[in-house]
Amino acid sequence: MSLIPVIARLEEKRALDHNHSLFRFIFKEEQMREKFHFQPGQFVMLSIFGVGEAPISITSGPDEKGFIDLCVRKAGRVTTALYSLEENGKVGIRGPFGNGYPVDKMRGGNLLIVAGGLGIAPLRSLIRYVLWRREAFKEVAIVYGTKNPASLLFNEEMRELVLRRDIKCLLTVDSAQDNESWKGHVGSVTDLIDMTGMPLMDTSVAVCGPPGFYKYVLEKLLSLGCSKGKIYMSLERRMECGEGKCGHCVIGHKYTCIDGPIFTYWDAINLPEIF
Amino acid sequence: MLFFTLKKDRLPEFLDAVDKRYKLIVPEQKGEKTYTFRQYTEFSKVSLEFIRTIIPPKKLIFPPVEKLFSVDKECRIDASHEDEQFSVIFGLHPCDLHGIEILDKAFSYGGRDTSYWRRRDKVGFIGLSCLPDKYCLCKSMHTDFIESVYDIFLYTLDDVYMVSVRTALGDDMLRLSPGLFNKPTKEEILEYKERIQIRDSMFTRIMDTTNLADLLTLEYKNDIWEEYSKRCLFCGSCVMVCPTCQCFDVYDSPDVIAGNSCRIRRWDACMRKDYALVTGGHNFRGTRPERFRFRYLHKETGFGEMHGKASCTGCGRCSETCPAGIDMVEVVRRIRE
Repeated sequence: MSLIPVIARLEEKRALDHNHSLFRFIFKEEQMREKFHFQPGQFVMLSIFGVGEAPISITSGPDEKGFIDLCVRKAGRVTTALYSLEENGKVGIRGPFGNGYPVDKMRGGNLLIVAGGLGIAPLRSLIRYVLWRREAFKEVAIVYGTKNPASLLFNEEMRELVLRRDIKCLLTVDSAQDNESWKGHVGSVTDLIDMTGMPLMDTSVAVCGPPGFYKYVLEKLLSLGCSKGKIYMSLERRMECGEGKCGHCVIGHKYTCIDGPIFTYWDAINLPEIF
Repeated sequence: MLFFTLKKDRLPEFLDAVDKRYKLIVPEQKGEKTYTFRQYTEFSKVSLEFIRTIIPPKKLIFPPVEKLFSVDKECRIDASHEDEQFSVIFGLHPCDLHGIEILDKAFSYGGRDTSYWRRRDKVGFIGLSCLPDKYCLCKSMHTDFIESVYDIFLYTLDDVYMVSVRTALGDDMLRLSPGLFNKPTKEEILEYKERIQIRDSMFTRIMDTTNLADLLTLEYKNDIWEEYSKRCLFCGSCVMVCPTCQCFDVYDSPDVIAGNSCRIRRWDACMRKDYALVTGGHNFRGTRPERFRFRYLHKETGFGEMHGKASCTGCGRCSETCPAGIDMVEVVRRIRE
């Protein structure tokens, strides 16, 4: 374990909406490109030298080799500096960190993915994992909600998922007033959970979204008979090291960076400070 | 473990010999009532009677500010560092040795921290027995004696030190001055036993730690956190002087003209307002009572769940240092009421 990053090159940046972009990085050393394995739900520490380091979840799939994609909101010092980085500019990357989604446990059963806003970032990695080996799962449903049609991240990809027959993908927005061409659902993601018609008793559920989002989604899932041990939440905390040392991400007696960031709802309610 | 005795007036010869071979660090008096660990110069400056240094010996292995690497305009990283000389720290009391043991665990949890272990692997310890003052809480925390971490431990008797040698490094140190060490006599062993009893009876400060982790969790919403957080100045002194607080912050220090920068880590404190603040403005521990409570819970229970025991060594530094006079023993007693 070391706090020294490896160098990667910004291969491509693509705007997703006015303050979210997708950044593709390629490690400078060829060996590193081969060596870098990760699980959906894991994150990296991204360095912009001279500015600092920030934890960002990986949004590409673990089977896509040679690069990693990070979906980043322009929000703090490091991410703002990343936005002004030219293509081919260099960054530092450490990781991957965190436990990731327990995909081995999820395989063989039904899977429901519930995303809100930027919460799609780590879940997109899980979605890509599932699509790569679709036959390993029974029923798969994805529900994704954003504020409005313009803030729907990975718009085209999501629309393609909606058209697929081997998964059920449903999209919703809080309000479509600014976009008359929106033909999809308007309302809460909890409505979409009902609309999937999926029996939730034995289904694994991966949830990621802003803090307020969890409350309604969790209530809904429990009312439909979901097990607290099968609801997987991705938690956010301040992190300085990603390696269980700096102390900043501690929740009660757990380090979000190594014991998490994926916690079952059952584990989470047993942590002081959470709810 | 081997036992010897060393005549008290021969200690200077022993330390001189250790100093010749290793970089020797010793406790010295700093102010009227304050002590600090410094590099050895001469025996007359070594303090043998001190109770506690201001800053615990963690500073020697985990520096308050540390450069992790520098990086130039072309993003070439230079993480080189000078090879540290092997040092021996003399004069650690059992509480501080327990502190090192806890730091060892903290810096190994989830993988070894290379910067910490680079120094830690090049340090030896000579422990020294002590007598408690009004702040010492080690007996309650079960850290009043130690059976690990040190290489040599000196128990002060009337005319001699009872010397416990625990490691091969300790044996190496002894063999630097061969004529000084003798087999303990029956009388000396008896005196050693009596000293243990006497020291044990001298503790005036007791904290009941029975089921403390449970109680702190049950009293999570107690008004006491609010009350004490009004008195607390949130200065972080208790954290800085704690032998087991290991939190740090990582930041870049750029040289704009040269176009290069350094990545630094420095000690941080969970009492600080923006400790749990994330980008976007959400603070996961935004209020003062939350931050005050967190330190108690993490020290007494959090670390316990991970490592099997509380991470307080009972050294007494936080109670002695607190400018607001907040005393952990009092807080815990109030929780028990």
